This record gives sequence, structure tokens and C-alpha cells, in this order.
Amino acid sequence: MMKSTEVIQFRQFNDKFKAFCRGAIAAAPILLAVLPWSMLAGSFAIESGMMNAWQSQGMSLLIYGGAVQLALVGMLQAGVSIASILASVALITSRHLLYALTLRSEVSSLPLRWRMGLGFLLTDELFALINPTTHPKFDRWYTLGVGLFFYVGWNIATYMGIILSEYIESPSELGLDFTIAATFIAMVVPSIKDYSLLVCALVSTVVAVLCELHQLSYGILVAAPIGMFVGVLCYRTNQEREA
Amino acid sequence: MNLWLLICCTAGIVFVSRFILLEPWLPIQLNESAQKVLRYSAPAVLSAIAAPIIFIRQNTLDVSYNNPYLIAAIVVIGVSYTMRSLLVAIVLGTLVFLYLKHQLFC
Repeated sequence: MMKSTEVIQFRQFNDKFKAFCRGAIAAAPILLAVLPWSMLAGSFAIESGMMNAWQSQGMSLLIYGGAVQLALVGMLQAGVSIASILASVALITSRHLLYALTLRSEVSSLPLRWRMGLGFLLTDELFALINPTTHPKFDRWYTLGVGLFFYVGWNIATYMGIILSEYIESPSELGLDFTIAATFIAMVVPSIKDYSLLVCALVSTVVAVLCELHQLSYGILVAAPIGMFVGVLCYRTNQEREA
Repeated sequence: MNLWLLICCTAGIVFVSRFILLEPWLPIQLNESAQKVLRYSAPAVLSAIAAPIIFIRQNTLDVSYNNPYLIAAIVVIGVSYTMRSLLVAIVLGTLVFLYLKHQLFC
């Protein structure tokens, strides 16, 4: 028979493991939508002639960000200077600052190894799944399950992309970029809980489209803050009206 | 510059952007109204990523029933609103999309 402390420890482990698995299961359908991009990131680096297989895989292992990986290879191919490459990378990745800030109240009290681990794994998809608008209750093991599942999946798909690099077409030519958009839309819809959140999403949508039409490369950096601002404004005016 | 060094520098920049604002020693206090503002970050960012993919075809705005992205996106919104299932919404939306793109418009 187990001692009572052992039982408690076992139970705690069991709960953590269950939360971890729930996270991995929640991540699975989204991983499917992301796979083509990860394969592209792997194959594009090879096809460009800029990197060998190790470097291509190394990008997915170390950088672990699709937009940055594709941009890095594209800029190397175009012969852009190192300084401009690093500046562009900083610009593309800057949206993660907003994700971290949003999760700060939950994560900053965790030990360093958790902050570094979850920080490393903090991608668009992870944030979309665990953001406080849809998931008010933060669970570190659930989050780790989502994040590690994405990370392992991303790297396996990159590996497949490297092996199959001769045969891979761009996902946007096949129309697979739709799956990314579909994933994000399907995650935004349940988070629209009131009028102001709807306004925020709509404004952000319109501004992002306008930026893209005017060839502004990083429209998301303009659209998201404006959407948030108008959403908050909407919430405030609504409250004042009710008061 | 050595390519591996460049990859590591890039990885460093990306990691810092994801990690730095999680650090408790940074003197940032998020009061209640800041928390309220951040409630809007997910819908704002995710919409901004998805919107250009849906609405823009060959650098022009395409709001018509000939745009399979738009029609399938409406299906995704409808399904996720009524059924509240991420998986069903993505799968159904993608099926509708593939049907429209490869059967009707090619």
C-alpha cells in the first residue's frame, strides 16, 4: 500500500500530466493547419541555395518562427545587408512583445525555467490557443503541452520539408494559406464576447487590409494597436452611456 | 558573417521578444485598465494576420463570390459561431475552400 504522501504526489503528477495531454490534444488540429508552412520553411531554405540541411533544421530548432525563418532566407537570397536583416527580424518578431505582455500577469510569477521555456515556445498559435480572452484560467502544464506539441510537430515537418524539398510547391500556390487564416478566424470568433471586441476585430481587419493594399509590409503592427485602441474606446463610451 | 552566427543572432532576437516582458524584475506594473486593454490583443492581432489572406488576391481587394477564401471564411465564421468547435470549423472551412478553388474556379 502507498503512503498518503506518495498518493498525493502521484495524484499531483497525474493532474499535471492530464493537463499536459489536454494541451497537446487541443493543439493537434491547429498543428495540421501549420504543417504546410513548416515544411515550406524547411524546403525553401534548401531550394534557395542559401543553406544546407543542418542550417535549415537549425532555424526551426533555434528560431522556431515561420515568418522570421522565411524572411531570413528571402533576405539572404536578395543579398540584403546583415544589419537590415536583423532590423527586419526585430520588426517581424515585435508582435510577440504584445503576447508576452498579455500573459505577463500569469507567467511572471513562475520560476525562471518556466518563464524561459514558455517564452521560447510563445508563438502566434500558442498565444491564440491560451490567450486570456478565451482561456481565463491559465494552466502552465496545459500551456506546456500545447507549446511542446507545436515545437516537436514544427520540427518534424521541417525535416520532412528538407527531405522533400525538390517536390514542394509553395503552400500559397496550393491555397493552403487558407488553413492559417481559417485557424485564426475560428479562434477569434469565440473570443468575441461583446460589442467592443467585435469592433476591435473588425477595425483591425479593415486596417490590415488597407495596409496590405498600400504595400505596407508590417501592417499588423499598425492594424493591431488601432484595433485595440478603438475597441477600448468603444468599451469606455458604452460604459459611460450605461452609467 | 557566418551563417550559423546569423541564425543564432536571429534566434536571440526572437527569443528576447517572446521572453523579456515575462520577466518579473522589469519595472512594469499592469494595473486593471492595462489588463482590460490587453484583453483586446488576441482578437486584434489574429484578425490582422488573417485579413489580408482572405480579402486580397493578386494585390487587389476581392470582395466577391468568386473569391473562394472569402466564401470559405464566412463558412468558418458561421460554423464556429454555431457549433463552437475549432476542429469542425477548420475542417469544414478547408473542405469548402478546396472544393471552390479546385472544382469551380479552375
